[in-house]
Amino acid sequence: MTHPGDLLSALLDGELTAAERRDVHTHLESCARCRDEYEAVRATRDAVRELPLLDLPPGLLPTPAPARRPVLARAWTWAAAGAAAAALAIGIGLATGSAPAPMDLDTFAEHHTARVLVQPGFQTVRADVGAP
Amino acid sequence: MRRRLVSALAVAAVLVSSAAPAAADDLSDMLDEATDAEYHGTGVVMCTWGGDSSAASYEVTRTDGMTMVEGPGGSAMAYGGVAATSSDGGWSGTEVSEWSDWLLSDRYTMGGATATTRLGRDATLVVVLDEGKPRLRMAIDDETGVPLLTEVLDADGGVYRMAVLVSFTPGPSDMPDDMDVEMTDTIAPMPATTTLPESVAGYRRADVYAAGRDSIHAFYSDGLFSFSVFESPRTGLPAAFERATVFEVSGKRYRRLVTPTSVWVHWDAPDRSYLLVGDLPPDHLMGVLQRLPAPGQRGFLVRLWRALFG
Repeated sequence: MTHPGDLLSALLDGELTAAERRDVHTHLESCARCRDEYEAVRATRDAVRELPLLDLPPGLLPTPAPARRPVLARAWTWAAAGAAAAALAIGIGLATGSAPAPMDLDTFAEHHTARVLVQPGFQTVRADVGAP
Repeated sequence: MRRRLVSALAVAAVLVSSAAPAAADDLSDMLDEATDAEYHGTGVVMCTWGGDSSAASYEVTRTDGMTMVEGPGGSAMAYGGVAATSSDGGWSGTEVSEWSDWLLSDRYTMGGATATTRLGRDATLVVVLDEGKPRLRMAIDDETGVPLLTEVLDADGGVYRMAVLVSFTPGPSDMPDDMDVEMTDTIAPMPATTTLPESVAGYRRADVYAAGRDSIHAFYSDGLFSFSVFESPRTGLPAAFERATVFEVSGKRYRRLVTPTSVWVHWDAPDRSYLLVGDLPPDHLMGVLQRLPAPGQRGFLVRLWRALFG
């Protein structure tokens, strides 16, 4: 197979079929470049997942106004707080984000069958007699 | 009686015109006529695509404008704008509130026609050409205009699908009179907000409907074949496609399932999931897929974005 590219992150997210997983793993055994990419993607993914979700380091969140703090220090504090908030949001997003439910094939089959059945004109057979 | 007379005239026109391809209008009339006839038949339909093949027997009855098809997976019935299906004894109905007129693409013309017999009945063997190449062979019953044999050909001339009636009784038949149809769904048109093209590889986007909460159903037809495309937010792979055949079009990967009457194709684009179901032949399907949104994987950053913001 060609280099799997974005299939690597799909593999880590468990979105590949058994056959695709097998193909990608087979490719990884023989391709050092893709192994490196896979490890990099996994490391990035793991790093993001391991970001602190609840235990923020003390002092990063803004506290009630200390008097006359240097402007530069205050800016760094806000930047750090923003970064922590983003990390928290990413962590929560990855932890709680779930894929939408798979397509409802039964409903789609009914819609297609209904539309075909009411269509005037020619059809080879006027209904799907063996939907999967 | 009037229908029968028109049918006979149509077949006569086929016979007379066998020396040269007939106009698309004649073909359109002939095909349209076949759907008005009243009859009961039992048949077999089979489909072969590469290593995938599937076959089923079916019964079809048409009386008083009502059509019923019964197959191994259940039964389907249509009357007016209502289509009902039954797989466990009960009937559930879907109302299609609007649909476009049937139009036959002008790429189809009628080729040669020869007299034959089928099931002991006088019939006419007709070839329908697709831009000059045979696409459909039909043995049409002279009395009713009903195709007793239909062969759909792939681009290489091989038979892709064959539907053959093994018994045929013209005239009205008894329909079940105890059908209790529970109406469960309405298919309503929606403004064409989809990015799916208005025409693709010779197929016209006839109608666009809402399908569930956030899916779109686009129905395409060229008058001879038809298919539906369902566009949904990107989702996981439906379980039915876990073991589907993977095939490539222009280097892009799709999964297909072949049933006797249809092909089902699934793919994921970066932001959407698509399901195509229809009776179009493989070479048409390839052309269609090349012009629909292409498969693709989301990159890692896109996954993060989707996880955060949906």
